[in-house]
Amino acid sequence: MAIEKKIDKNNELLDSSETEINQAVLESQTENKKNEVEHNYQHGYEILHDLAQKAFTLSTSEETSTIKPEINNLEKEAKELSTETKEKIEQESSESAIEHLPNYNPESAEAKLVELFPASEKIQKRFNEKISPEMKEAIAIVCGQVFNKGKYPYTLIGSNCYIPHTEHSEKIPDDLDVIFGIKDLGIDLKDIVEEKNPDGEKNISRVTKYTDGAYAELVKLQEQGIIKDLGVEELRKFGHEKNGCVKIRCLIKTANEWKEMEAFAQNMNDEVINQGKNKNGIINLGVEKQRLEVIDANGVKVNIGSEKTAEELYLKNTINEFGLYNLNGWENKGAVSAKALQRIFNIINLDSQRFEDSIDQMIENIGQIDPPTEESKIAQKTLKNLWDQFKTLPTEGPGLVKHLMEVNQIEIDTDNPRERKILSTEKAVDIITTETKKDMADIFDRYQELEKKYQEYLNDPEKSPEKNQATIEIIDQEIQTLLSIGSKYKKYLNNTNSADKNDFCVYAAMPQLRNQFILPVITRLANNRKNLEKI
Amino acid sequence: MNLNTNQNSVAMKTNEDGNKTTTPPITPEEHEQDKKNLPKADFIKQLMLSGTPPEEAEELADEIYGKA
Repeated sequence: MAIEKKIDKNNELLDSSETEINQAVLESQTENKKNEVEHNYQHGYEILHDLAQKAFTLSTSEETSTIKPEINNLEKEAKELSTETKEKIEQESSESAIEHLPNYNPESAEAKLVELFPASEKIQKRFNEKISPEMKEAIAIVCGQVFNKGKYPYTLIGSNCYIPHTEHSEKIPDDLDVIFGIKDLGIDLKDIVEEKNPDGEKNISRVTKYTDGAYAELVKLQEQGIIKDLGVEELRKFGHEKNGCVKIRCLIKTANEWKEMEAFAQNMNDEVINQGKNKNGIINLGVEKQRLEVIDANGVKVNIGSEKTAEELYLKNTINEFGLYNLNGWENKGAVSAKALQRIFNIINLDSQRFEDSIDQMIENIGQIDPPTEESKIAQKTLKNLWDQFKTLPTEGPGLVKHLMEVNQIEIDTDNPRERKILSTEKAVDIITTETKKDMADIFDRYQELEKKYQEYLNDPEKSPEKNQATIEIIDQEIQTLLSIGSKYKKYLNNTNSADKNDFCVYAAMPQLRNQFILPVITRLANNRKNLEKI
Repeated sequence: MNLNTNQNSVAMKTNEDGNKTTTPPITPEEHEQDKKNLPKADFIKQLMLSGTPPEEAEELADEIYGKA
């Protein structure tokens, strides 16, 4: 929140050094700005109207041919005025949207690539209605007392940004995500040291020195007991080399519970330019021009991504995740996370998306990445393969989403068909991703255990037919378990109706489980079984 | 739309999430080697010995080794 000079009833300055956080002053100033913008707009409109009238009169007169250049000049003048008025309005609107950022540097390269504007009533209303009171409290604390003090753009991302931009969703955000510029962090990366945990198993990061910035503000909040478990971690690209970005994690105290926050200090324009790459707009959102909206959370003004930003963010996440996912193999030994599918669904579910076209649209958008990267190419190919494969499935099935809703006895209480479709898909995606994720983890664990037993037996100097048979039996048991998991998903596939694009998000979770887990593990177990038979 | 993909911080978050996702236990190279070590007919035989019905074993073998 902005810090304002205290004024008396006559608008006279009482004490230039005395300051306080004054919401009434802010509101009054915002109202003045609004009036000013309206006045400018009205003024511009009147001039344009007048010019248009003159142009019309001239164009209908008999002397049109002789005065054509004059008409052209008037037209040019009208366009210039129109542009000027538009720019003025945008500038005024933008100025009133940064009042909650007292240290913001609008002249910075990053700020020039980011446009801040007040959230519409619709977005504010949804935020008020759909975000829990505890989450609003946590957002107000951390944005008001930490991120609003930054010099560079920041924004709330994740579900708190997604939810206000979608009409139908029952998701309740349980954590909050922020991205901000690394220059606002207040830690030199060399002052983050990795140490072994006392138990020696895990590395922990410790900050040895810090200056003013987001981290220092969080330390203050921790000292006051407002947050706890503050930690930082340098991030790595796909788990390998460090990439100059830092994640801060903490828990924020609210009236009833602790809310988890993850804030990502991102590379900024300078860092990206120094790497010889194209300019970067805001911190990591990765597009050249970002629009952020300013919403009110418990009286504190907070930046959240616009719908376009949310879409691009999800799209980029999807690219990164699918870049690791190879339908026919295990390139990079990567695996698509459940969140990738939820993100596809989130993109589809945004307000301005047309459900019917959104998957084709998404595949096309990935192809428009400039310049294309290896990851974006793999992501596009993978998604297209999945989509093409999905389209070959029968069109007469009852529908996988419908099937999962029935099996899990979930009823959606609405008469609105679009709402029903979105809410049921949302649930079905949650169900299938939870299920496949668990199956993958279980298959992995059981396989490791089995492989260990198999190797132990091979190395056992006292082999016996009984021990051999016992090892074969546990292999047989696992083969049958894997076949039964396979059958379960086959049933799901039989229920899929490819005429219903709704089913795609759910379907997309399944090929990986079969191709990367079930089939290779069965092959390995059959191999081991044969080897045991020879002994 | 002109996405700039220079940044990898979203990827980092992806990575954070990705780490929670189970990695396939067997690599593609290992899987190919397993297939070489165990011809299709042997695979079917082992599966049947493990209690799998013949049709199911053959169907699975077709899926893994191809129909040829």
